[in-house]
Amino acid sequence: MPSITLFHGNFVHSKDICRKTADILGYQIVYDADLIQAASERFAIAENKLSRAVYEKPSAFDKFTHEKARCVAYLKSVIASDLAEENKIYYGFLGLLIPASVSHVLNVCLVADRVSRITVATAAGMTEKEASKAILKHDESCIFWAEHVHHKDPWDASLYDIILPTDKKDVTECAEIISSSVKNDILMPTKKSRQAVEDFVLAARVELALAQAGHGVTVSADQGAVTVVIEKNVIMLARLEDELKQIAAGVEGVTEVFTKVGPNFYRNDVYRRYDFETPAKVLLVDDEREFVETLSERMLMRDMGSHVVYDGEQALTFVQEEEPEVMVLDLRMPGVDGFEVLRRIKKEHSRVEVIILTGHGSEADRSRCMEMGAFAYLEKPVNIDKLAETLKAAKAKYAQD
Amino acid sequence: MTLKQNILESATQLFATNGFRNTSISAIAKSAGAAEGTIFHHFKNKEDVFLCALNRAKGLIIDAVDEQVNSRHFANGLQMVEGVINVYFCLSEQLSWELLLLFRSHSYELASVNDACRTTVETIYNCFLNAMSEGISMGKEDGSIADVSTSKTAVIIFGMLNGLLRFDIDNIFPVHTLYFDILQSCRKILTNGSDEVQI
Repeated sequence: MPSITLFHGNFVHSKDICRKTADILGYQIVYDADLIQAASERFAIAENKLSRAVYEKPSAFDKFTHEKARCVAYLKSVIASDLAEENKIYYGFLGLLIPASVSHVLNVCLVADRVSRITVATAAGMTEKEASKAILKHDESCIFWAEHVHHKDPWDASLYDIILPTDKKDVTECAEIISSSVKNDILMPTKKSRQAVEDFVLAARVELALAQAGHGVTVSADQGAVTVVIEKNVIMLARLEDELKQIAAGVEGVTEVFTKVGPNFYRNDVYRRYDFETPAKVLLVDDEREFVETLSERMLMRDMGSHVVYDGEQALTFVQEEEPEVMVLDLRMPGVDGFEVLRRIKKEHSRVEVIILTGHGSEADRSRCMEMGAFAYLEKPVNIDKLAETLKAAKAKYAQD
Repeated sequence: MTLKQNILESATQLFATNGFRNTSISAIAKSAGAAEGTIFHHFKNKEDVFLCALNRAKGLIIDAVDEQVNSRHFANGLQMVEGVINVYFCLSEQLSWELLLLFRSHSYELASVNDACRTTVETIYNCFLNAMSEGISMGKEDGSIADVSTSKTAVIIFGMLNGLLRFDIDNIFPVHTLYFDILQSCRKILTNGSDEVQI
């Protein structure tokens, strides 16, 4: 019969649901603590180190000691060999380690909204403040763990077969849903899914060998042929691949080793990627000093540097000297107004993209500006996300021209 | 020298001094004595100029290492490793612009999104590391070097040199005064590698 994994928030009656399901099906419950204890015995490592790796944020020094990667590899080895027995409920975090290829496992997530979780906690004798704190702490652990294992949110629907809202269904209902779902034909163990368990055992062994050499990488196996995925960008890729192959090839049961670059390899650093897309040279033109300075600061928080001037005259001088890529321009200003600036820019520096941002605009102004060659016409107050998006598009057009 | 080479040489100096962002095509054109249009005739855009300049640097560096290390005969492996250390220091004088270009952050920013750039940078570092690894395995065979891990030790020693050279370039400390001390330290690492570190 298929096994079950039960991932859960706290204060969602998860223990009751788990016990009830186990009673109905005659399944054995495997708690995280059982697997941690088994790993501790098998690999001679302290239990508290293993639980820290599962429930807590990695320490700053982890990058050098690789303790988390090693601990997770130990736990994977243990759960991988345990999986062969079937008819079990894996209650807690560690079920998330089982790969999707092991298709005879029903993955269940128990959730409830915050209010009902607090009600459950206070009914058990906690104060509301204690409950809030406990919920926050547990959710944080869930987030770190799901991020580490899957690079996903712990409540991401793609991780589970069923997500049960325990504030809308009672314990008996939930247990019944789980125990009837597990009888679905699609979950029955097949030759292929049992092979996947053996592959998982081998992949775990390779991951462990690599983790012991300091490499935190994901490994998959297919009957002796293992694939090591490199997720983090590295310049000396060939050298790293050689090293990984050498280590993996030395593991018992491995017949062939492949390495491949994961989808995140060429864009590992989100900030840097952002930096590439956002305009490097933005000029903000507006006579409302406070508004434009705040805008400039808020843009800086999003890694968009900008220069600020306060009237049309200054704007034209700046463009002469510094040719910006994108200009954000107010229409109503004393002296040379926005329309005049737009006209001169489009005549003399046609590559500069101009985004109009005005407080007292009209439909007539909009069409007049667009006709004169403005890139976009926005009205105050503007949503910073909307502005950032428009700036990015303007920059793309600038780069194209 | 062809005009294209001339443009790349000017670009190398400008990118190395001012960085990618602060170097304009018109500045490169001015410095190379070419029209802006000519640059766009030879290169797709500024990034292409940067990549080609990096490629040119790669060629020059590899030729120098070939000439001064790979085609020379060394009495033993330890001397070969010292030969590589020597070349790296010499190149910081002979090809200072090219190394400066390699050290610019833009090379790595681009390498993290662009495979061609990553391969170029990888090839440059590999040419030093491979020569260093070769020296270490040779030394392990002829007995001039102790039983150390070849590739890991090569990375550690090269990393040290690289860091020291950047110290010099950024005017943090004049490391050229340390040349003989560096050779001595490396010799210690290579001949005395039996104590394992426990984690």
